Amino acid sequence: MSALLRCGRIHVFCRAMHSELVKLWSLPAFWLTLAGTFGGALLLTLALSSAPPTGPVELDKVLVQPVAYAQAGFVLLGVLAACSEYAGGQIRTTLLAMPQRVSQRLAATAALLLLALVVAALVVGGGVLFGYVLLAEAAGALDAGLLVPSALNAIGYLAVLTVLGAALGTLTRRVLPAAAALLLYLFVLSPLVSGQPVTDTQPDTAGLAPWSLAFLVASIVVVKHRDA
Amino acid sequence: MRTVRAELSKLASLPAFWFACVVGVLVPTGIVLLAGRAAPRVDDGYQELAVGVLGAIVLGVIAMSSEYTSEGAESAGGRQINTTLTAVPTRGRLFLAKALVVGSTSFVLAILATTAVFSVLRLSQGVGVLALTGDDLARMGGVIAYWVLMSLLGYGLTAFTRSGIIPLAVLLVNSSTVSVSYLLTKATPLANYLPDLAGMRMFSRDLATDVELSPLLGGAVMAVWVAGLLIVAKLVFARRDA
Repeated sequence: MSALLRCGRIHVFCRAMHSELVKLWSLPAFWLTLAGTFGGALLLTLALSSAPPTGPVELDKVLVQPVAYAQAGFVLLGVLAACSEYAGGQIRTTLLAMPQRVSQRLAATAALLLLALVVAALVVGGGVLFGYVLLAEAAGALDAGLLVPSALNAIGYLAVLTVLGAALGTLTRRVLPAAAALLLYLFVLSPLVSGQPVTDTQPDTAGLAPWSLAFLVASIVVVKHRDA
Repeated sequence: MRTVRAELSKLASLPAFWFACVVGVLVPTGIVLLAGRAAPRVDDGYQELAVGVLGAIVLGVIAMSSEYTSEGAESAGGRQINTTLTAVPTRGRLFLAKALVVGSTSFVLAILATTAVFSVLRLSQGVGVLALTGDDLARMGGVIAYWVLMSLLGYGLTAFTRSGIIPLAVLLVNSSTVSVSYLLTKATPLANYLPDLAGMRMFSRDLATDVELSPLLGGAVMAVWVAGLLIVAKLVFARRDA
């Protein structure tokens, strides 16, 4: 009986996650942000790679620096996904269909995380490939043992950052304050405190994940207790 | 004049306006305070103000985006712009009044920030606060003009998008420590004529790029960009359904 109940719960969660995916998929802002981030990352790779090659392909040019700027796109993705619920009356329909708020937020986060991982893989992978094409003349290829972990780390980082954006968006319910706060932190305060420019900072998934988790938990607790 | 006063009072009543002022003054001053420096450099203070311009950008963006924020389904999706246009139906005049308010408030903000930054900087370096040369004054004028033009740039861009998020994200990321425009100069020398980079010539003496513009020419290039943008934005603002 309890196994059957658990089965039912998983089924409900999967359906909730499916509907969250459909909602994100149908959001024009999602596609616009995706296109902007992807195009921007390729443009940056183009700019960074256009200096004549002097040595082997540099990880900085094809991966670290474009990712540093792509952060902005993923912040927007998360914030927009969360705030789209509150732009009109969407949240009421959502809660009508899925009244368990904690499950609803978890399903939405899982759906967003999944999409963000795919988008991040596209942006990072596309940037690296494009960089390789541009730097074909370079003296040597990059060590795969170095590239693959860095790329995976960057993908994880961007996805976790998206979740952080969504958590902040859920807390504020408004796009501009959430996005401005997180962007200011990432691009101004954090480089200021650490003393190194944003483009020299390696993505740090393990460092960011606890923060994302903390804000996610806080946002779920707030959503559970406040008037929608 | 009454339109200007109304716009000023609307802007000053936004919490985000005060946030922008705090960011504009505190961020550059904070950087000066935090950055321990070994030897004075030619761009000390100006570099920090080039980051603090964020305050002016936020100010310009919210002046327009606040008009289009929906108040929610409860108020029939009403937006400030409906009330604004009922009160001031002449859209050209409204657009100019707003631009005037944005320009003048960011002018005042820039003066405050510049004063704060250089007071702190000179006190920490043990130089007299008021020992200013003609070149110093010209560069400070340049940095203030840069702030005013950047806030108008944000204002004009937001008039197109009607939402603050894209202009804010683009301009904010571009004003971070390494600007995208600067990276683009490595791809094409034409990037030196982008508004932000050209405008920085007005005060920065330490931009390592291939093309050198004089401060006046740099300022003129930026002013042309901003003027062009504002003209097109005004046409769009006047012709489009609100």
